[in-house]
Amino acid sequence: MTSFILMIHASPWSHQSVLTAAQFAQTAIKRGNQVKAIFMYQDGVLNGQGALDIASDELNGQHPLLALHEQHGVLLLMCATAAEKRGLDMAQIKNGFKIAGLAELAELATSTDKVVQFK
Amino acid sequence: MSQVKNILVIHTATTLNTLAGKEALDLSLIFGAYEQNVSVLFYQAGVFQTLAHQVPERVGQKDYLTAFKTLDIYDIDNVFVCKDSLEQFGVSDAELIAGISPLSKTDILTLKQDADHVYII
Repeated sequence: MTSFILMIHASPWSHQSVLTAAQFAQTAIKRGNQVKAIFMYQDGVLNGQGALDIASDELNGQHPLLALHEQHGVLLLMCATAAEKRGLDMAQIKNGFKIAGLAELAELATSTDKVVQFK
Repeated sequence: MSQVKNILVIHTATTLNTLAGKEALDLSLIFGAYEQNVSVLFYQAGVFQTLAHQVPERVGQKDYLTAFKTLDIYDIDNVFVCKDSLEQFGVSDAELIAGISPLSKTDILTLKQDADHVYII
């Protein structure tokens, strides 16, 4: 069993990498590995917006991330500093996502086998 | 179980066009604060972050570059710039921020092999 932290760096409406991260996590879990958290950094924090209203036939990375949280309890952490820089309203975070500090990433990472970035 | 890991943070973006340089620096600082063994490498366009005498305030931005001089406070002593990238961008003769050492491709390979976790920003 390998433990993972996945890092997401891109917005939910523009990058396949967000979907790829979610698919990677689903497969990793299915094969008996542990995904400790998905950490949203840089523009990745935009995935946790509460008021995201994307047409259903358009790319939306938020859905597969939420599915991971709902099905497997995967922690969806949003970097507070990155969110602040981008003017996100912390009171309007999507249910299932959680604001966290970089310190939380550092602490988790010290006891995690692999960190994988999706950009 | 918690343990000290070799962390390598690789800066790949130009200095001021995006937040990337600062966001990479923040990672190094936090891992340094958690007493991890952090190395920093400026690679490809990231080498522009290592040029001395840049004044971000003149273009309306905050100065995060000064922090590169003080990484040793966080016990981050391994701060490198890719020699090939400096040449590639034609800045191999330029003055760099003090304390940043040019590194060959071979040494970079070793640095990456020795790292437990690599963050590319």
